[in-house]
Amino acid sequence: MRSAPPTISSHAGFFRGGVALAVALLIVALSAAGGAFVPAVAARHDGVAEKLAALDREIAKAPTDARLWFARAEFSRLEGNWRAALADLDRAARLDPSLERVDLARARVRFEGGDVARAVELVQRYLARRPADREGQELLARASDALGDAAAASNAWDAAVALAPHDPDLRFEQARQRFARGAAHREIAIAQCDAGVAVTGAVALEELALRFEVELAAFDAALRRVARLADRSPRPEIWRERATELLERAGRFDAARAACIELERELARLPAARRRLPATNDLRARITERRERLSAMTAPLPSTQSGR
Amino acid sequence: MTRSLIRRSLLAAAALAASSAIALAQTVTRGPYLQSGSHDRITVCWRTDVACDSVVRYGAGPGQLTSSVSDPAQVTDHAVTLTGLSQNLRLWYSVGTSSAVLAGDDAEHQFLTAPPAGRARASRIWVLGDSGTKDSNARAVRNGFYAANGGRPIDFFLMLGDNAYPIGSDSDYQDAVFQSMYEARLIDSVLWPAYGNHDALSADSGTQSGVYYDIFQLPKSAECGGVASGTEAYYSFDWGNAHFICLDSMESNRLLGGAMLTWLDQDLLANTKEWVIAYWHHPPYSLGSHDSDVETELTEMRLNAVELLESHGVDLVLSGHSHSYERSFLIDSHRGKSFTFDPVVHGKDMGDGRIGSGGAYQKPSAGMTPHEGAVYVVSGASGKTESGPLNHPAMHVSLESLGSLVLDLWGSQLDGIYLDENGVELDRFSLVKGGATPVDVGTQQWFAVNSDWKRHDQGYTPASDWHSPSYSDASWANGPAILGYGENYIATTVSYGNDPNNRFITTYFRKEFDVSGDPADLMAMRLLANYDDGFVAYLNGVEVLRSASMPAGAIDYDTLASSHEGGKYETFDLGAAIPLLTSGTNLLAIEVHQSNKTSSDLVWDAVLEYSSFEPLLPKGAEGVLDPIGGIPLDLLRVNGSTGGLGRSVDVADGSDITLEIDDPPGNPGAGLVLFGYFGVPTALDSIDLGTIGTLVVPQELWLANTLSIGLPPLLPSYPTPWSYVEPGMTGAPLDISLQAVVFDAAGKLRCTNAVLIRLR
Repeated sequence: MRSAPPTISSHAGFFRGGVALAVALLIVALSAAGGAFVPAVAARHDGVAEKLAALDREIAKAPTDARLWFARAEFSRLEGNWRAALADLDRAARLDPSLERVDLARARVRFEGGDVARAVELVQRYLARRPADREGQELLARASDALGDAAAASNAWDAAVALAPHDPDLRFEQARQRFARGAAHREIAIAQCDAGVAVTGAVALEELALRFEVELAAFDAALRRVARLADRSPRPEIWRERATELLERAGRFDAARAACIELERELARLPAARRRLPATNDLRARITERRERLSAMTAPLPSTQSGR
Repeated sequence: MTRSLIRRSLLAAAALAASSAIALAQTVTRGPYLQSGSHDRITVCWRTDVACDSVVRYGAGPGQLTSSVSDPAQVTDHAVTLTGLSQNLRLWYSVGTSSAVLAGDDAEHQFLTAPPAGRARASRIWVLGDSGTKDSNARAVRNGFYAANGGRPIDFFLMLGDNAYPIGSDSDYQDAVFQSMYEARLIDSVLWPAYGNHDALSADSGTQSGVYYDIFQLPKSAECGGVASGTEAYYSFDWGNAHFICLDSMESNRLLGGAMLTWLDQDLLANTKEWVIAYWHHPPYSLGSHDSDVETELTEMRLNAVELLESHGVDLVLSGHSHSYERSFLIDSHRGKSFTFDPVVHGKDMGDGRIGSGGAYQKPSAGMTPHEGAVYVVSGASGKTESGPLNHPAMHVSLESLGSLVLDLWGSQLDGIYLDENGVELDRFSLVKGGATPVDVGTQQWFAVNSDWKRHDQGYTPASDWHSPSYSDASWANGPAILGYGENYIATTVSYGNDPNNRFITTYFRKEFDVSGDPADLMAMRLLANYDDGFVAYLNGVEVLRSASMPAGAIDYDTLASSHEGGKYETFDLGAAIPLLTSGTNLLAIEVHQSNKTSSDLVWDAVLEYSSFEPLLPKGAEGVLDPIGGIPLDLLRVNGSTGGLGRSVDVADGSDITLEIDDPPGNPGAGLVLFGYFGVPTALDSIDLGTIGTLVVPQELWLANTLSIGLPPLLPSYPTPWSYVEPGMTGAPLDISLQAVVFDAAGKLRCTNAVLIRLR
């Protein structure tokens, strides 16, 4: 089933190269046209409408400069004017067939415009010439996911991550998309998070993996992860609270209540400055509420436990 | 010697000369500059013209660089990280190779490590936004700050993005940051940058490659506090009792549930510091040269990042991108477009945030607490200005004015000050947390630029007592400055009559202002005037000042000034007029005179500012201990006062005074000498309060007359940490300044902070 067309706001960082490229091209083009113009434009409002107007003026002076048409296409895309963007890209390609990124730009427009199948064709054509383009691989991955082509998406995500292994955002999206594909992919998604943690150390990937584990009811794994995070955290108590939540969700009410009691003791032993923090007070209140709720549900703990 | 031997010798000599020439050619072409500073680490960066190894030597003073860290790799861009440093410690350093020092080992190349995590220390932070124009405007903003700041050290400085125009290339950065720009600060203050759209033209956050990421060495594994982001694109660091967070509003995913904001949530959950200050390039609220109602990056940051930050309890958000200055009220939970802002719903405090005026913004809780309000500042005019509507309803101040922002963190109080390119204060606000009493420190303003003035522009003197508080100006028109005519920056046009060849000579202005508290507490008063051509000022009916362009002697309506062009604010000292002030309503009256009847312009605006307490060390202490000390240690507390190189503490008549001294860093149990003075210290074993009585201190303490006899002898003194309660004194009012001297880890005498005890 075809997904709803992606919107630019749902890929906030994804097309980051496009605008930057267009502005760079604009600056280069205007520099070639007359350097004095560049500071004036650069000094003005960065709004798309103004940029388009400036480009129109430059195109009027140099209608065969393919870079100007390419830049204008990018701004048309930002305005959601897909037809205009594609027309400008066609013009740029006719004027300069050596402009390599035209197919990537076309693919981007198609993707945002909802023509995902065509976007895949275009980006594959682009990647055939430039396989080491991270943006291209990422676009192919997203488009393939949108079409439900899991194999193609996996390959493209892997290629993108291989090109930017230290980008936690990319790994995050890779894992999220993988997890969303269904039961057969979820363990792999967790493994991808862990691979990302090993390379980047990003806590966001740990958090994502934790959410996945909870969704899969893999509570033992989740509890081990929370324990590791507590050991590394400047506020281990926030992870110990997560542990009490997980134990309760797992139906291990006795263990959850014992963990609450232990955490309350730990909070009481905090240095005064930490103990008095509003966030600590809130946490204490939540833990107390959980402990009392669990106490009502469970038998009293054995005396050896309560004395610890 | 045979011919071949001679030839070999000559060749050898030539090779030796060549290698020596190569060695001598190593020159520092960028920096040094400081990165990722924390309480126990710092990274020193520099560039050389020729590849070589990297060595940083550091120690307790110039000529005492006894420690070093090196890297044998032959590179031109060097980055060496020093670890295991002590907190609150000043160190001097040099950069070079294993065989040569290339820069440093002098008084200027030094840095101060961060205070202990969670402990307050008076800190000054300089904030630049969109400063990368590499031109006279950026230098003027820099010079304006330097002039206003005087010799006071800064702890670090922030750049809010667009740090190097037009495309953030290496040469752009060289010209915009490293050469003939901020090098004096780069060698002694850590620079923390944010990533702007122009920086993004030569870099990529995804691969963390390109110029911005090559130049800056930023934490990604929680090296400076917080939790690991895994990327330099967004990061956080601790500084004493404040947690700073930098986000990537340009290229990273700005949505809730994305990697950056997932990290942000975890980072905020893990935070234990009192203050949370976040910064990034694209402002969530702005109607300057960018529109936060319609632009994607700005809108998404408001909807997502701000949502998350406010749910944890952010205090201050800084951004650039719009080339203006916009400063909000204390607001919360506004996510919609500008016209949906509702002061009743979204305003936590709709006052001006100024101590002595509408009052500091108060956040009831110490530490992070959700939804108690935050102040949003757009400060993107450090290199250029651009026009815009500048009328966002969430903003208290909106100015199209070059400038930079200064943040002063004083324990539970944060002051924000916007300085223009002349160092004139255009805005000030204060945030206070946890019920602390706002403290008047530094310069305050009774009224700022662009205030309303009453005017009489009718072509005659209104009455002989027009400048007196008793005169009624009810019939006078009222309007905001800058007042005048003939200039494009005039906000309110005044009349010059009907004949441009016979214009009014004199125009009259009046402004009332409120003085809270006792004027006798004031230490200084200054008028900053923007005028054309000349003026005379009256305070509560008494002439206190006339500009140099006014003649001496009697002045009347027809008195002509000499020509003087407006457009800049000039400072006039009015300290001698402080006795004319009264508690409550006061009046400043001004008559502005033309230089001739055909003058094409007239200009009037003014700021009236005052100082009530000198935040730095009392003058006496600096002279004796300065050769040793460096920055004073923040160790002394009176009645639990926290933070600040100098704090004033009001003590009620008859109540106890509790004195506490902490351990000096790295030297627990150090000896202590405590001394107090009210101008001239005396050698006592107690502080003689004259007719008030005597502040008796334990016998183990020595009170030394350090100014007249030099350094105190190394006699036994009371070990730190130390706490002492003095029973109540009576006989207010009286001011006593206390300060201590301790031994640091190197056995040298260091000053502590000073505390002014005001008996009231």
